[in-house]
Amino acid sequence: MNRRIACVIIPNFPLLVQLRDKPELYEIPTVLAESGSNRSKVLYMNIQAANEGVSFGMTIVQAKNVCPELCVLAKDSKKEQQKSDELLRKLHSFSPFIEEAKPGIVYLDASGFRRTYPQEKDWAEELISFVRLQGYPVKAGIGGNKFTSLVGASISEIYSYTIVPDGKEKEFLKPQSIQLLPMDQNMYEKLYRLGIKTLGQFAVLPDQEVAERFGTEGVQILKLARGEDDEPLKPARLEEKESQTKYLDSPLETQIGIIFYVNSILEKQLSNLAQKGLACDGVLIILKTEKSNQIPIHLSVAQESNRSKTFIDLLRLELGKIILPAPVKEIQVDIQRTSPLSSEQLSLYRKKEANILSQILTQLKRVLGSGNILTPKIVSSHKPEGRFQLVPYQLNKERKLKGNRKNKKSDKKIVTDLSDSRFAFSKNPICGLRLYNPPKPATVRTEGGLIKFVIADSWYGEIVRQTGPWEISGEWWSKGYDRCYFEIELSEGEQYLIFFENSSKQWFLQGIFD
Amino acid sequence: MSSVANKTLIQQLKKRIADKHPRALIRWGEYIPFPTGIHSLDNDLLQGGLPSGHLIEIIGSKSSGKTTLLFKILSGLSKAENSIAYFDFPHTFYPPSAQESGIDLKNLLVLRPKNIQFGLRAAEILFRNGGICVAVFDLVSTRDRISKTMLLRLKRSVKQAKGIGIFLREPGSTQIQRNQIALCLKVERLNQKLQIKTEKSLFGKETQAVELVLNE
Repeated sequence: MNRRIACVIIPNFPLLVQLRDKPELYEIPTVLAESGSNRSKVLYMNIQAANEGVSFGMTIVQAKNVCPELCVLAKDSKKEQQKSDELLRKLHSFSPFIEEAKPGIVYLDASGFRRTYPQEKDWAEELISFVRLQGYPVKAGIGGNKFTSLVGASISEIYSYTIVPDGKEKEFLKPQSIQLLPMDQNMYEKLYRLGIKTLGQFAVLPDQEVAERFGTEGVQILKLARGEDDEPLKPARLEEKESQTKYLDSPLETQIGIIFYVNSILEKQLSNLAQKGLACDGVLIILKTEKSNQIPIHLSVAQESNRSKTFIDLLRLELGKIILPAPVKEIQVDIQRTSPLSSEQLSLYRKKEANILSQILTQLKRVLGSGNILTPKIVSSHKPEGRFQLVPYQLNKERKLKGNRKNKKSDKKIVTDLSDSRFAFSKNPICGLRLYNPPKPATVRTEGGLIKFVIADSWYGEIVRQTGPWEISGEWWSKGYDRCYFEIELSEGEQYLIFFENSSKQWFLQGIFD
Repeated sequence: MSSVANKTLIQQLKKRIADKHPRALIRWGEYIPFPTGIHSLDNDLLQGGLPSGHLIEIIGSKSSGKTTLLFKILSGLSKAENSIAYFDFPHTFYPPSAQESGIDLKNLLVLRPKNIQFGLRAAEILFRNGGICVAVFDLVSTRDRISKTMLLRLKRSVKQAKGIGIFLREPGSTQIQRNQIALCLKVERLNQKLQIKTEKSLFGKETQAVELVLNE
């Protein structure tokens, strides 16, 4: 069976999202702009504004000159995404595979409805009435590929649909306007000047000439015009978020009581997730007290789990370091991050180990504080204190590693082979250097170009042996350094590394060889 | 089966288990040595390596080479894939120097507690949960006191985990109760050599000494 894809368009979706909270603006000329400033451009408008002569791309100032009583709303991307996510969740009841092209345009997989609906048009009608019930104007199109269904939806009237039968994509697209193609204004004007106004006229052009004139983008658009769009549906996976609140008849003061109620709420939520084949790795618990305090507790595990015991063990540790200001009257438990449950057989041992490690880390953070658990990394630099970083220790989550591919460039700075960056100032047999970071100020007395006496860090001593100098400089683009290093040995046998900073004309103690 | 055959069978089983799980055969009073990788230290001074399940002290004055010796020991331990927690109280730990000595930084966790009591508590948590095999307490230039209770708890957790706790200190810094330490190594520098003496040892003759040539 050939694939069938439906496209649902909600015209002016970003503007509608704003107007839902302000119904008094429905009858007034209203536009949605990039931001609240006068120079921002009009992105969406309602019919009243269009009738007054406002057009897309005008600045607010221009639009207000045309229509003085115009109401301007600023774009709120967060709200749009939230409303879009809500709608997508509801559309999952029509199709398991949904792709959001942008807020207001959604593709659904229309294959496999035949068990529930005898004909495609019944399914399309049901879809239209469903979205209409959510309070949005909608139009839909169904075809063999994404572009055909998009064109079908674009040419439909509000609350209606267009169905393009299998194999009829080319015929359907032939008389449609080239404005429906996803191309820039420049390309559209070129085609218009060539007398090409319909998709049919564009589709008959030879591939090579289109490639020469418009490049690879033109060839891709040519394929769309011919009805040969083979781009697959990229379904988005929606995160299930569960939130449950328990109001307590008698306020709780003890940890055991809080743990009991949280466990009962969490078990239900996790079993719901388990039925959907999901697990979670992040839970937020909010304790609301009688004095209106809200105490948030974040619980995070290394590997997603749907066992409440894993989270309750962490909760016990977190509650140990909290002093409740008043009895707790309300408990809210939010499941924050969900993902498909990984195969038990393949990763059982690793999962158990990772969760034990997260428990150990939680206990350590409780004792030491989160900023004091570090792991060393060697960095390429000439400055001794710049040669390493002590970064906070983090559990290696597979998902985080996948998401951090963008940071690969910064990882190149980390050096694993020290052959170029070793501390090769001298052949000091005692290679164990203890570094003072930041370097400590020192007072040095020299005679005849040799260092004779040093006072630093509550000690002083006469120099019996010195080696150096070694000069290093760099980082001229930021604070910069220009140093002259010496290794000195005192009469009592202590060996230090000191340097003279040329820019500030001061001596510093860098470290001690031990 | 005859008693001789029984004994032979038991020895064969022990050998098989020892290959895969050496610590499974440990008995009270016995220990599994952690080889340091320094030949003269392991063979002449220690009986095969550092004793597991005990607290060890390394003491030396400034620039005596004690940190160099510690890094060499940790290098041997990390090569055997033992996880190490380094409690850096004076905040002078220099990772490039550690890596040059051969320590695998991937097996190293650096912790900077506010005071020694928190550090000992954290080490106890790590040993109890099997998070580490070796804990190093760098007490150079610290003056805090260690409570006997905390030290006893640490010693117990080290024993149960069959790990090693190493205290690095210099004369005048934080004192460790001698009766809790199983092995005390004193380090002195003699020109290009390090002299290591056992000031106290429950595992061999006391007041033994070896000399190490640096940069071996």
